[in-house]
Formats: sequence, structure tokens, C-alpha cells
Amino acid sequence: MKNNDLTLKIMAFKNIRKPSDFDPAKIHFAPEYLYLENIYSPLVEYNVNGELVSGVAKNFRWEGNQAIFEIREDLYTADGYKITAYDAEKSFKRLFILNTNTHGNLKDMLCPNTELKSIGESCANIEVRDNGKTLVMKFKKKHPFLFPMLTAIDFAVIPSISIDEKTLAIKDHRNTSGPYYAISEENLDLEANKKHYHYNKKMPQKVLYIYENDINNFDLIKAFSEKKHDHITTVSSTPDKLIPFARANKEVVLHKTYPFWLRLVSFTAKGRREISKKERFEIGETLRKILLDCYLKSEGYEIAEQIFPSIAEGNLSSEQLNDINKLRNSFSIPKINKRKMIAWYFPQEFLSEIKKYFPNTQFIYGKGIPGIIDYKKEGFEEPHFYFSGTDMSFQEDISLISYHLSKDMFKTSGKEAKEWLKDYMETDDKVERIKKLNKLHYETLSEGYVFPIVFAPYAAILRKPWKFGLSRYYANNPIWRIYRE
Amino acid sequence: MDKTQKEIEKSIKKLTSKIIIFDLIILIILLLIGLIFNSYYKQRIADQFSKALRNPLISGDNRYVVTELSHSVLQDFQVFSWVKNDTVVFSVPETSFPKNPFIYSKAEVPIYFDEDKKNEVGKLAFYYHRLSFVPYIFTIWLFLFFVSLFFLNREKKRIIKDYSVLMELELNKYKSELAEKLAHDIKSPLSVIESVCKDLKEDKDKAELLRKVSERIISISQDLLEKYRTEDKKDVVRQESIDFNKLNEVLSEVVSEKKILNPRINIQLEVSKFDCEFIFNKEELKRIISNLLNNSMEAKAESIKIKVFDDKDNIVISVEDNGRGMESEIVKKVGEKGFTYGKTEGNGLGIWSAKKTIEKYGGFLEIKSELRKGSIVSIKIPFKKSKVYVLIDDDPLVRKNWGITAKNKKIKLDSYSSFDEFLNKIDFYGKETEIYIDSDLADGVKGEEVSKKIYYLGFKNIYLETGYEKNKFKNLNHIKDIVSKTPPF
Repeated sequence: MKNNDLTLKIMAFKNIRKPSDFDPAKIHFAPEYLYLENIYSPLVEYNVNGELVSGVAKNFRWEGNQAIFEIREDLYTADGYKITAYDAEKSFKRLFILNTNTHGNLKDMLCPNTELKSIGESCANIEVRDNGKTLVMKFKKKHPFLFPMLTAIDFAVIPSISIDEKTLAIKDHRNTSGPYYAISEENLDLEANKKHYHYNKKMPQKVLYIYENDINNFDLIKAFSEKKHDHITTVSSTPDKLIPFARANKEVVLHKTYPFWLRLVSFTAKGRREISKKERFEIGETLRKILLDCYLKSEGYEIAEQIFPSIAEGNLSSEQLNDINKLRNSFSIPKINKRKMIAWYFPQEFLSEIKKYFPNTQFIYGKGIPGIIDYKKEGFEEPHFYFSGTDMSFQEDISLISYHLSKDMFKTSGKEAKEWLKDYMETDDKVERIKKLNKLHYETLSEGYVFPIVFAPYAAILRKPWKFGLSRYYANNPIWRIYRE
Repeated sequence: MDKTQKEIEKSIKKLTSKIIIFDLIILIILLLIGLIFNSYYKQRIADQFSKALRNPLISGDNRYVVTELSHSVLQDFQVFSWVKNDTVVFSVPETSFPKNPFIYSKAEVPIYFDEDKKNEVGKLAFYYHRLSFVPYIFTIWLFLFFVSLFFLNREKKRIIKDYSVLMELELNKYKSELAEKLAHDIKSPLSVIESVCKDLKEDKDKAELLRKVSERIISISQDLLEKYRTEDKKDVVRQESIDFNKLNEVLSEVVSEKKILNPRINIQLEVSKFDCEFIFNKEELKRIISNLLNNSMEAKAESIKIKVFDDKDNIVISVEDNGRGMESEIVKKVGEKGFTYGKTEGNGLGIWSAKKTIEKYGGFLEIKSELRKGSIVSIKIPFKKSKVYVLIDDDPLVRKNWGITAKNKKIKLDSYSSFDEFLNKIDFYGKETEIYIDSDLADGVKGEEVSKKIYYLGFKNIYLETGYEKNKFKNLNHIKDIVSKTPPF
């Protein structure tokens, strides 16, 4: 790598080839989130210390029940289009119309009974003032978690000129609100937007995505060693592979978050309906034991007793945890289950061991997130349970809670989950909200809907002289926080 | 003494004032440090609280801040408030703000929207009691104050002791000068008396009388001189090893003199051969024997026998006469200062002085007497022993180590844990004794200082034993050498 070369090479994500494959209104997987946070910016952001800071809005505040956002006056797209409050307004209207976003339910808070048909229609509770300098959201009451929720990239500001007003598709990825824009609509390559507030000369000026045809058999670390790319992101590999690799290679820089990446087994709506609680515990605890045996042999993993990290908000009290462990202990011996079932996303390397106990279960690699996808449309039969890895965060994060509720991860699902979230968001007292979250958490575990397996940190590596400026509190991998002196 | 008393009081007053000033300065310094530290500490805590309060505040969740976080904040602060555009949004508790700037201070932390800290959201103000640390500071100061009191007390004792030693030395010096002056002053008239005696050939009795009187006066003046000789001047009295030949020579000289002066008295000298030596000053020995012979002659003895023999450990010189003797009650009192018997002009210092001198050399004087039959006065002086080493070290392990080595090598070693302990036994040691002093004695007493005192007391073979490098010690000309903690023998 040349010293003055500020181009960063990253492996392209599996099955994602073009910018148009991404949409803030429809984020299901982490790689989508990671790409979108580079090309779009929300009104409000978290900095590396977990503090709420200005995003597209330079100021944000509550005035009574109104959330006021003063938009930056010096934010332009790559082609010089000035981003205003009107762009933010249209981005939110687009989101309300599509109604498919997964990280927070702003629509129910802002205009619950209004069905917008086009972004040209006015919405009484969103107002642009001062010739596009200020965006005002009018609520029935103050929502303290609004600003944290708006940090999710679902609520990114998309310049109006990039949106097709008829189809609501994003037609242009060059004029974006983020620190980067897509150089072409044909590939994922990015270039820094010099007019963006996050822009600096030390960050990668270009990001080139490297494509691999046989992605399923592709060895990401080997390709890194062969200098095919310079960066493995937080969601591209696992800590048990990256930590030892970084330790053994002096040219590698490692970034590691706190351990809040949860691996879990969750029963879908179908699983919960068809399988009894006792049998769910038998299946869940058998899988938990097999997977723990596999994971704990590797570096970076620790046993997960509950869904939230032990120091996080909404975690279980010691009494609750004792109750759960009592239940678990009565199913401590792995049991062979001959029921015909469908299971998704179990790690290939552990399948032979798992199949010994589930001889009649069909283990497949599905598509989309159970609970979110339309099985019929995608041509799949709904699984009974699935394995996943997910970001659990340390603090109350309404966007993550919303995401988890939408994917059958807690006790509630579907409409019931939406109602629960609505009620949760209506609760002003944080202590009360955390109690509700705790109750949901406890019931999810005690009913045998979810079986947490292990926690691990998110890990990423870079080739020197690149350095990390990422936060240890979040799984995000914003490219503009990577730099070199 | 009044003057000394005043000087002691003055020194103690000076020391007390110094310590009081020191304590006050320490108190002021502690208060200043406390003030600075309190301000720094409160600002730091305020910064940390601000980080914790930032997100709820910026999200408008004032309720959470007030209900859940205020308890933690109020453990360190009296009041905290959230101020936006110079308007107080809320304060906890909802009372008026502390106004007295001498008692209360404020740690202010601005909170910004952006990471560049250009766009301010508002300020968190934390009010705290400036003097909240005072009880802690005062407790620390009290502890230091009591330590200084202990130190003051110890120093007071040291001053008094130093003054006492100094005064004793001064007094001895004064007495010595007085005795010297007296001896000098009476020498001239005595020489006149002596010359007159020579001319009084016709009247032999009168001449004899005058001669005895002059001898007596010389003896008294000599006693005075010896008694009040100061330590430094005593060094002039050279200690020497006396063997059989030398003793024989000394005694023969004295006996010859006495025989010439008293030809009618039969004085016999019986000296048994001995191989050892003993330490004494030849002139002192002569004077003592002369004194004893004079006493016998005063007691109207016709025959005097001087016997010299050894009793294994001591050389014994006995003066045996057939004079008038003494009653046992009288014998008991002989040797006491000022006690005199059977002499019209006796001052009671002769035997007392002889006894003291003999004791100085580790010996003793013994009197046996029987009324009308005679007396036997025996001097017992210990034979010269092997070399004695003295160790002054507060470390029992060092003392033990030296002790074991000395024992193995059959060397005489006397160990002391402090200078004071050594001081009590100082008279037992000849000035040639090798003295080893620890450079760091207990209670902060420095070996260098102790060595100076010992040197001043006349000892010349002083060594400083230390664990430090030699070059740490400077200007110690009175010290022979600086040695390690390993026994030198």
C-alpha cells in the first residue's frame, strides 16, 4: 500500500452487488446497515462515546411537545445539492408510506391515523419552517427516546432529488446525505463527499468493494493475507477467527467491541404454536448444550444466561435468573428429538453434531429474517426455530428493541409486538419502561421462546497504517471513522 | 546554673515556637491543598455526572434525570441545575441556589450538540460546599500535630541532657583550672620553705617538721589537681603497661625516697616475680604508694613491708605496717570522701583519691586493720586483658552477629544499643578502646553526632559502621575509618 494512497479495499457483501440493493426503509441484515450508514446520515447521531450529537440537524430540542430540528446550512451532496428540512420531511414521509422499516416506529408516534399515499401530501404533524432550515415534529407528548431512535439509519435523510416520487425507489446514490456517495449505480464503490460534516483528509477517500464469485467458499482472512482487501468489517467475520489472526500478524490492527453480540436459538411463531413449552425447553436446552460445547472452545465467546448483557438495561434480576436456571436444569441432559421440523441458519460447522440429536429436522439456510419475511412470497416453508446472531446493545435502544420485536425474538410477535412497542413508547417514565422490557425479557425466556447461547464482541481488522476510530459500544462500522496519519 | 536554666528554657521556647509555626504552616498548606483538590475533584465528578446525564438531558428526559440520577449527584453536590440560554430549566433540589461565594462554589459543565463543541445545548451547574473537606484535613492535621508534640517532647529531653553534659564538662574544666591555679600558686612559697629547710641544719627537728608540712601541702595540691582534672587534660596522664621490672623500679624508687627521709623506719620490699602486665600510670602509682607509706608512718609504724604478688587475675600490692592500727568501725569509713583519722592536718582526700584512681583502672583497694597491731592496705589491679571492642548499634541482629564472631575468635566485645547505654559504662574503657558506632541509631540519632561526643570525651579509636557508601560521609576527621557492618575482627 502506498503511503499516500487513501483508498480502502473491502470485500463486497454476499449477494449484494449494487447500491440499489440497499434501502433505509428496509434493513434486515447488518451488512445493509453498514453500507447505508456510510452513504446516508440521520438527523441525530451517536458519537464513539455513546453520546447523542448533531447529525444532519445541527441542533435538536424539545419545545413543549414539539421536537425541533435545525438543519445544517452547509450540507451539500456530491453534486452540490443543498440538503434542507424539506429533504428530511420527504424522507420520513417515504418511510411512513413504505412502512417497512425495522428500527423504530416513528409513524405510530407521529401520524398514527394518517395513511399517506405520496410524499407530496402534507402531514399535519411534520412541518418545515424558516424556508427549509427547521423541521418540526409535533407529538401529543414529549418522547424522550425520540432522538436516540432517530439515530438509526432507517431515519436517514435522503435528498429529494434522489427519490423517485412515484415508486419511492432511490434512483440516485450519488446525491446522498452521508460522508460517502456511490461512484456508480453498477457497483458498491464509494467516494468521500468533501462537503459533508464528517469529511476529513485522513479518512478513506475512496472505498473499493472487491467481488468474489464463489462467495460461499471464500476465505476472507486468506484474501486479507493475500492483500486482496484491507478491511474485514465488524459483521463480516467472527472474533474467534479475527483475534488470533490479528495477534499473529503485526501488520494488522484489531478493533473489538464490548461483548454484546448474542448468538441465540429462537422459536418462530410456528414453533411456538406447534411445539409445547416442555418440548421447546427440551429442544432449546439440547441445542444450547451442543452449541456451547462448540463455541466455548473458541476464543472470544462467553456463556449467555439471558438475552441482554448482564450490565445492560432490561436485564434479569438474580431471582429471575435463578428461576430460569431452575427450569433449564430440569432439561440438562440432551435429548434426541425425532419430530419433523424445519430449522434455519444453523452454522454449517456444527450441523453434524446437531443432527445427531435432531435426525428428522431439516436444517436449511433460508432467506430473510423470520418474522419479517413473507414466507409464501419467498417460496419457503416457515421454520420452527432458527439460529441467529444479533446486536443486543448495553442501553435502552428503541431502534434495536423494535428490530428484535419485528423478528420473533421476544415473547410477542406480529400485531401483538406492535401493540407492545406502542405501549412501551407511550410510557414516559424510563424506570417503568425498563420494567416492561424486563418483564418481556423474563417471559420470553421462561416460556422457552428464546435460548441465548453465547455473547461475543464484534471484531474487525484493518491493514496498517489504517487505524480504527470506531466505538466499542456499537457494532457499527462507519468507514469515515477509519483513518490514517 | 540559673543562666543555664534560662538557656535551656530559651532553647525549649525556641523549639516550641518553631514547631508551632511549622504546625500552623502545615495546616495552611493542607487547607490550600484541600481547597485545590476539592475544586479539582468536584469538577472531575461534575464532568463524569455530565457524561451520564448528557443523553437523557439532550433527549428531553428531565424526569429521568431528576428522579433516578439526582440521588447519586446529591451525594457529592448540594444542588445541581440544568441551564439553557441562561434560564434554569430545573434544579435539584428546587431551592434557591447557594449564594455565598466564600462558602459555596460551582462546577459548570457545558454540553454541546456537536463533537466540535461549537453548538452549546446548555450548561450543567453543580454547587458544592467549598469547605466540605475541612473535617478530613483537620483530622490529618491533628495526627501530624500529635506527632510533632511527641517530637517536641523528645527534643526537650535531648536539650536538657545535652546541657547537663555540657555543664558537667564546664564545671570540671573550671575545677581543673582552679586546682591548677592553686597548685601553681602554692609552688613558690613551698620552694621557699624547701630551701629554708636545707639551711636549717642545726635544728633538724624543725627542719623535718617543715619538710613534712611542705610534702603534705604538695600532696594535697596534687590530689586537688588530679581530682578536678578535666577529661581532656586527664588524657595527659598516660596509661601504660607495667610489668614486673617496671613495678619493681617504681616501688624501689618510692621506698628509697622514704628510707632517706625516715631512716629509722624499717621498710622492706618483697616482690614476687610475675609474668603479666597491668595498666596504670607510673606517676599515679608512685603517688599512691607514697601516700600509703606516709599513712603508715603517720600511724607510728616502725616496720613497713611492701609485698607484691599475683592472685591469678590481679597484681596485689600490699602495704603492711605495725602502726597503731584502727578499729573496725573506723576501717569501714576509710576511703570515704573527707574522712580522716589520726592526722591533725588530714583532709580526708588521700585514700579516697587513691581508691578512685585504682577503681579507674578496674582495680580496688582493700584495708585490713587491727587496733594497736597495725594495718594492711592492699591494692588489687587487674592484669592487662586482651583488646576490648565496643559496638554501639541499635540493630539487635548486628549486635548478635558481631557477638558471635567475637566469641568464636575469643575477642572481648561489649555491645550497646544506644549512646546513653554506653555512656553509663564509659568509665570502664580505656581511651584506646576501639569503638564502632552505627551511622543510623534508633530515633533518628546520627552516628556522626554520637562519634563527635565520644571523641570529645577522649576516645580516639572511633569507627563508623554503616551500610552506606563511604562517600556519603564528609568532614569526619575525628573518625579513623568508615567500615561496613561486617565485624572487623
